[in-house]
Amino acid sequence: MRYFRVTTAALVLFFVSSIFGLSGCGEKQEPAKTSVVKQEAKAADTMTMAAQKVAEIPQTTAPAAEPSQAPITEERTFYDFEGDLLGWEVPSWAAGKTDHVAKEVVVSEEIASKGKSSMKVTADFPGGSWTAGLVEIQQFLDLSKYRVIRADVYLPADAPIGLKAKLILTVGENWKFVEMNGGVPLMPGEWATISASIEPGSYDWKRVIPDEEFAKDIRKIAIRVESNNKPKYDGVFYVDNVRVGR
Amino acid sequence: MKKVLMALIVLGLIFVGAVSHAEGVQGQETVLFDFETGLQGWEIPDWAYEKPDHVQTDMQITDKVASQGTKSLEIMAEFPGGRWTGAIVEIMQYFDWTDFSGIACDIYLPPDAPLGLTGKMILTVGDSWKWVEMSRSFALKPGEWTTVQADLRTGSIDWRRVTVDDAFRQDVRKVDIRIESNNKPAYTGPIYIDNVRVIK
Repeated sequence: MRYFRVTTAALVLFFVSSIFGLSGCGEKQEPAKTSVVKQEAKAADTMTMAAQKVAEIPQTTAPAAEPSQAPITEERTFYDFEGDLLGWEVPSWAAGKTDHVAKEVVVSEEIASKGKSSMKVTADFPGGSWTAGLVEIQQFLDLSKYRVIRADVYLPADAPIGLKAKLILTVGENWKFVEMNGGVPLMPGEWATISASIEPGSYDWKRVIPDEEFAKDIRKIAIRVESNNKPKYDGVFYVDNVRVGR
Repeated sequence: MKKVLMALIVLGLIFVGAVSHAEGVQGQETVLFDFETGLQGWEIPDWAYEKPDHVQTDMQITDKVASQGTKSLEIMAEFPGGRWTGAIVEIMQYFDWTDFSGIACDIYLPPDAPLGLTGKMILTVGDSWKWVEMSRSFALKPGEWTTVQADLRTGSIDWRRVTVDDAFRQDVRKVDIRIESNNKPAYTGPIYIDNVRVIK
């Protein structure tokens, strides 16, 4: 009788643990892999947010599309600023906003990440509040053939540490304003590459996970350099080689 | 003597090279419409008169300003502001631009016009008469000629909702030029167009 009770208890335990996945047998469930964001400084932040978002996805839904992990082997430069701003500007809507501090944009041959010239943006970040210098181009683009969008941003060597840069897309019929999840820290005297996946399932965008339609109808590309309370900086930054890759 | 002869030959070669280079640059553009002899087929399309958001009222040839020659196309328009409106002119003509890589035109706003108007070109292409707008507009600066240009080559990103291939530029059926006010500014006055051209 005692043997029967022990055996029954063992069977019940085995049955319950099988249901709740506690047996330790079989493959361990891994969280879905997040997209690869090229900037190392941004990776930790993005991974954390991505992990949170993965946790929010109900287990019962079909797995969402995931960006490819394959390396980018082909890039195409859309804007190299060789002698022409190519339509980039400080938008008129930003001129009326006190927290948008970009004042002027010109082509410059002072520095370039590709070719001989780049886009020089003059901005006055006062510090003490969130402010940003934003430049953009309004152009209807179908980027569905590509996997990433990238741009190079440079701060002069005498600029302070603490500014960050991100890409912003305006997409679709509703002109939805879609920011990158995190800003890429800009190191004075160095080019930084901002990179974000535009593939379905990408976690590189704030409050939006791209679907198949996302990259088909891009209407604006913006680059925003931000000071979040600090630092204070009255000077220039440079943008070059805005490109897509696959 | 030999040195002098050699120097002359070198100078001659440099001169010939410079002349041929200059001719090459000139030869890269072919002017399609300079409006020196009239409207050359350009018109305000009938359908545009029926659309309340199309605000061109008249067009004529003028010698007030020109980016090439002495005359240009003057369009009168009344942009009310507060909503999107456009002023459009077009020519219906079959073109095969296989040998060309780009298209351009010049647009001029008087100095007293406001900032904010933009210009773009629109092509109607192929058997289906597909309406293909440029993917971006060019900001027009009052008192200046602005060149609006677009790439016609395969893979161009300058055209909206179309895959640009060789067939695209081979069968162009209409060319439109549209000046736009997107909510602002309001403007009543002339706009000038000149030197519609293709580029090798």
